[in-house]
Amino acid sequence: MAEREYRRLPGRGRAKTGVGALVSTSSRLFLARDHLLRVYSMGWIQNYKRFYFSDIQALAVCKTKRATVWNIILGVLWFACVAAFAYGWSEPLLKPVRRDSNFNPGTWFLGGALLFFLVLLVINLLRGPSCRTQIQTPVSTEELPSLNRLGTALKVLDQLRPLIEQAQGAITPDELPAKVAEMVRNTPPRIIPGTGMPGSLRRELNYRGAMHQWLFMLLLATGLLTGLSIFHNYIALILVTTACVAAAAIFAIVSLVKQHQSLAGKALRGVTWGAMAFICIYGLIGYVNMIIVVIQHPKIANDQWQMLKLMTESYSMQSPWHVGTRAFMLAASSGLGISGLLLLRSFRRSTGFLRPRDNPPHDH
Amino acid sequence: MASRIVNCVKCQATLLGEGFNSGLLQPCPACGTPIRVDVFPALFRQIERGSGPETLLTSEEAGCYYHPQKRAAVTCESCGRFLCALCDVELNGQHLCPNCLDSGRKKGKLKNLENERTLYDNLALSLAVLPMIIWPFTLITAPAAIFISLRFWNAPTSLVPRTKIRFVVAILFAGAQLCGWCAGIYAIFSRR
Repeated sequence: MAEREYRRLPGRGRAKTGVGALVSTSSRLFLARDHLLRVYSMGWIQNYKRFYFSDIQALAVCKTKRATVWNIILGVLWFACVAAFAYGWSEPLLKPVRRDSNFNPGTWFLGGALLFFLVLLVINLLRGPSCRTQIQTPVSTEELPSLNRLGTALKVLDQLRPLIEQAQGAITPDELPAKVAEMVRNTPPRIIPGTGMPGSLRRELNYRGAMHQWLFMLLLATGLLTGLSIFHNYIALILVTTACVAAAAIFAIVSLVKQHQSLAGKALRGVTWGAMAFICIYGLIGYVNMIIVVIQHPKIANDQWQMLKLMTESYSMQSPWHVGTRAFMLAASSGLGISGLLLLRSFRRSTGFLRPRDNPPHDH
Repeated sequence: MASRIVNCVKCQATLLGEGFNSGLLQPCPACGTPIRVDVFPALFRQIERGSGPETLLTSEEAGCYYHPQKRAAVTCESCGRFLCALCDVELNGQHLCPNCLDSGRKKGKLKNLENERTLYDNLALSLAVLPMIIWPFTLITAPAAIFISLRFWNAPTSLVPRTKIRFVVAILFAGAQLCGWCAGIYAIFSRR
């Protein structure tokens, strides 16, 4: 009977399948007497794949940064809700709807959003770091999406290992290095397509960082314009700054894609991600400023030009919010721009991508 | 067939065995990502080629049903036909011919080959719950949900353990919707 044949293993994940990876499929793992069953559930269809213990060649678990990224996103969203709630509480903006009532829809909405993001953040923190798990057989290497948290994946691997060794036998630590060396020697190397070079690395070897260069130059320009706007607050300056950030956003996305399989180092990749985060925060700050202006002047909500004028005029050196946000934008954009350009130069130098005129001639 | 090497999950670099079976997360030599790899003897096992059929030498020997010129090696445990080494398919210790294998898979008799099932309980529950968003459709979907629940109550649902709670919930929801429709129609006619 099915109830005695399969035992559910911990972990639950989603595998993206379907047209354009738009359809999400739930994945679970079950343990049978002589095999592992991977179940994909999509609506009212279930797909099964069996991995017999006698056929399993390897299990690999690789730590990823997905959980950290979600922690950051949820943390920023929660903090934004807290900031908006605190600002609305201190300023008479969240007014009761009726005079004879204390009901305030804005407070309830922000309070609810604040609690929602906090719960998600806590759950993500409790679930621990994320990972990817793969199972290798003689004919294929398959993902196990349900083992997407490191703690769960390691626990399941510790459960599976003795069962697989019972079916196949164990490899002693002494014989393992020799067997692996012989296997690597006997296996023909994969050739990277388009390069003719042997190796298993999937790397885009000819990317020289052009997109990164534009990104960091635009960030530097944003920093300069923001510095100017602290002392000279003109609408034209705000518009040009916003245009620079919008262009930087496009180059940031392209750079992130280009660097994914390039030879760029960790520092350069980190700064590029930092640039993307800064652009998102810049957008969020602008959105908050717009909300504040709309709340203070509800009649101009549909007039974009008036809204922009009021946003510019509302800037004040006495307001800690305005000074703080401008100082942050100046420091972050300049810092990211300068560090990014320096790291890019180092990347080009280390990979030999610098132009001949950048290399000083040697005196013999 | 040669063995397959183990690659890093993230960067696909070849892993050379350092840290295999240690139970610890070791950095990948190419991308530095922490990775744990457990390998087993199957990784180093060379897959043997299957033996080919032998030619029938004398008329006294039994020939294969599908290849009369080849000597029969086994009989199909489902239909009893004689099979040569090429036609013999071994599955869970049983020797089957290709026809019985195919028909067994299609009729669901060979559970080990089954790789897809329809979950009628999920279908019934979806029909009972989702149309409530646009409630006029429940006039059609509620009876459909009850029909599917009763029709497929005893049908095999999932390979893995599963209760019939979804059928029960679907019947309850659909029943409540039908009661609501009956009450509404009665109220309309009674006012006239």
